[in-house]
Amino acid sequence: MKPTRQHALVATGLTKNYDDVVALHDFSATIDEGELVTLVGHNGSGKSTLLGIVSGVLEPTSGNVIVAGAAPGSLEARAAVSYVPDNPVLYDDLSVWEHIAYIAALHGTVGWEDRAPKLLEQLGLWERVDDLPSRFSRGLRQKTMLAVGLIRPFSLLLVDEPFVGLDPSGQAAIVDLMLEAVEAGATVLASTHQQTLLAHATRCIGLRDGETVFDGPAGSKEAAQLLSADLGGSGTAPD
Amino acid sequence: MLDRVQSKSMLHEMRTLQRKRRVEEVDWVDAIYRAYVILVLSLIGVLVVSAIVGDGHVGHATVADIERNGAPILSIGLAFVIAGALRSGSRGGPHSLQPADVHHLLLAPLERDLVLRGPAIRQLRVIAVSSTVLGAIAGNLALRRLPGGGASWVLYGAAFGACAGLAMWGAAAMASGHRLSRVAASLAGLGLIAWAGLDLAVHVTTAPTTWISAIAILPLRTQYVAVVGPIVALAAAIAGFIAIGGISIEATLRRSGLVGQLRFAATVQDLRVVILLHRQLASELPRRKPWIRHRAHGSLAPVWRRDWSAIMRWPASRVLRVIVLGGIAIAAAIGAWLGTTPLIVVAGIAAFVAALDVSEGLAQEVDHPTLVDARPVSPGWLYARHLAAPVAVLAVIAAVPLGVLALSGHASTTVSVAAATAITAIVGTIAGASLSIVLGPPPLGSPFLMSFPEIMGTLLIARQAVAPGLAIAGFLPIAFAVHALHSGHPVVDAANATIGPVLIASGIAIGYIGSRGAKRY
Repeated sequence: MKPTRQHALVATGLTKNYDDVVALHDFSATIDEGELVTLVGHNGSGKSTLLGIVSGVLEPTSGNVIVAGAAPGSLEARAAVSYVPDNPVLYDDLSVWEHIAYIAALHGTVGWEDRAPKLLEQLGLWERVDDLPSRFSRGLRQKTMLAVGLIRPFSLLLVDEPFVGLDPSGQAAIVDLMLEAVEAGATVLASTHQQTLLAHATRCIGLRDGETVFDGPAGSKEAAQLLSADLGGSGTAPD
Repeated sequence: MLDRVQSKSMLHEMRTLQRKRRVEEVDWVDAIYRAYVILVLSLIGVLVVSAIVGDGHVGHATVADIERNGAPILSIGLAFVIAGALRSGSRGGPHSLQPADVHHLLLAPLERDLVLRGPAIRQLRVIAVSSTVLGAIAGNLALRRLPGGGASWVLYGAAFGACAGLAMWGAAAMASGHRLSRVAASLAGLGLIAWAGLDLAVHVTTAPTTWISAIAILPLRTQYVAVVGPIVALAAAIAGFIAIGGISIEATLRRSGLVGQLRFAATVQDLRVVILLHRQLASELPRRKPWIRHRAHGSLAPVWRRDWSAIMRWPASRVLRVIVLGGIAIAAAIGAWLGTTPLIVVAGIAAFVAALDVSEGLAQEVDHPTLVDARPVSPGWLYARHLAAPVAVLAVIAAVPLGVLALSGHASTTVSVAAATAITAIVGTIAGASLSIVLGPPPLGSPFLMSFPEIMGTLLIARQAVAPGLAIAGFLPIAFAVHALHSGHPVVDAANATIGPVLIASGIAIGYIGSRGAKRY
């Protein structure tokens, strides 16, 4: 399918193999601007692999993907895509504020100083703004990573398991922030095992062992069944 | 998006801040102590190598041989190093960014060459300086035995080292920048080695590695191709820089995480983790299909069979590494028997490193204490039984030179000394390697070490030295035999006399391993 400006992401026949392990097989989907899409599936179903490919961190074994009208990893795509991995990746030697300042400046963000206090307040990080995230708990590091991902301009936000290690108030704050991003016109693609986000999503894509098993409205019975099966399901290989 | 000038200034500003913070956090006493330890170890290394090389001038025939074949032989060595660099480049080397840089800088809308240039220059600077120093040291050792001006050996040695470092880095950077596949990188490396080999075989100087190597031999022989060597090395480094922005983010991210862990493991002297991470960096995975298919039946000797199942799944690279290390140990042992006694240190260390690879079954048990705990046997019982398969593997390797010696009609003295050495080397090496695996990194919280801080350094060094020391002791029969030969005593008796003490020392180590409980992390 030829990408248009309305398409945030167009994936065609995406496959990713790790040696003889198929992590993602023949994934195709088109996601429009302004959608909030949840990716559900058990561990090893291919969610993180898909997000990695779309962000440009991983290279597909075969297939094509166009992100915001450009190839993943290109300058244009990097300017458009904000990727928050499941494992927070932060500098050991920068404070929360310095992280925010650095990333905002790298992306040429205008007015970030005015937005940052509110964002950090929402995430419950304002009191720790001058602390080093390297000394934080897993949950606080995750929040810092989200703050870093949200402070810069983006049209596609990729979030991998955003709720891991977070308390209920932290989870609610993140859902609010994602909804704000969607309201502002961005597209959000988030992998999750949580019902919290599914209730607000416009669409749900279900993966199992690298295959797409569902792609439809998040409010549908099938999506809910998929998530409950995911919560009770099994899986051994990491994403 | 920022333009290049803005990006450059932004990166500069942030890196200055990070550097300032790192300097603030440096513990200067610790840094000076580390520098002191490195200096002492370097001096010891130079002294050991000096002892191995010796001071006597070589004969005319040897000089003529070096004049004729020195550059091509060095060229083959350099080609091997560059082949390794190409393989490393195909897996994302030589770059070793921190993971946060990969996520935040390489995924930001900045030109990637701009992001990578700073760290690459720093890396290249370290490689160039260290290879220049190594080259100068080698030149300094050469001048003791070879004719030619003293300063020229050091000077040309340093120049060769610098060029080799540049070529090595450039090859790796080109391979990663152009995203060479592993197969293509291996083929390119093999091609370079074959080209260098061809130069040696037909006495020509056509390979780029030979042009660089010709620099090192300049004090003996003037070859005009030596002028081209630095140009080739510089061109390789520049080509690496030009290609730098094309790196694979996937490979760089994977590598950045592993290199960080590798540095930490090296800092805490955790040899086992260093080996595991090195294997991961080299993408060395067990074979899905074993070399020889078999399905275990019955319940006899389960540990022995488990170890052989694992050995049958060794990847080709590990098989090759063990064979090469075994070959080095045997060659060094022959060198020691022919008169350069300190070569037993080289033999012992090569055998020790091979034994660490061979003793993977034991290492797996030590790595998984919960699994060991779940079995109805004591950990020590299990550990001790893991020594049998590695002994058998080393025995096969040692049988090759022994068989050749016996069949080629060498004097019975030589065969007897070799047999005595084979016994002690196999037992000493396996005991040493197993001890190293079971001991693991130094327990910094040990109450004994904490209560005697003054002797902590000495104890830690002794703890780390005892395992390779046992492996080196395994080659002592040669040293004693050589000494007896020179002093007119019975040679075989001298060699045999060392068997008992080495076996007793190894037995103590094995007894210690057999008495261990499961290791806790």
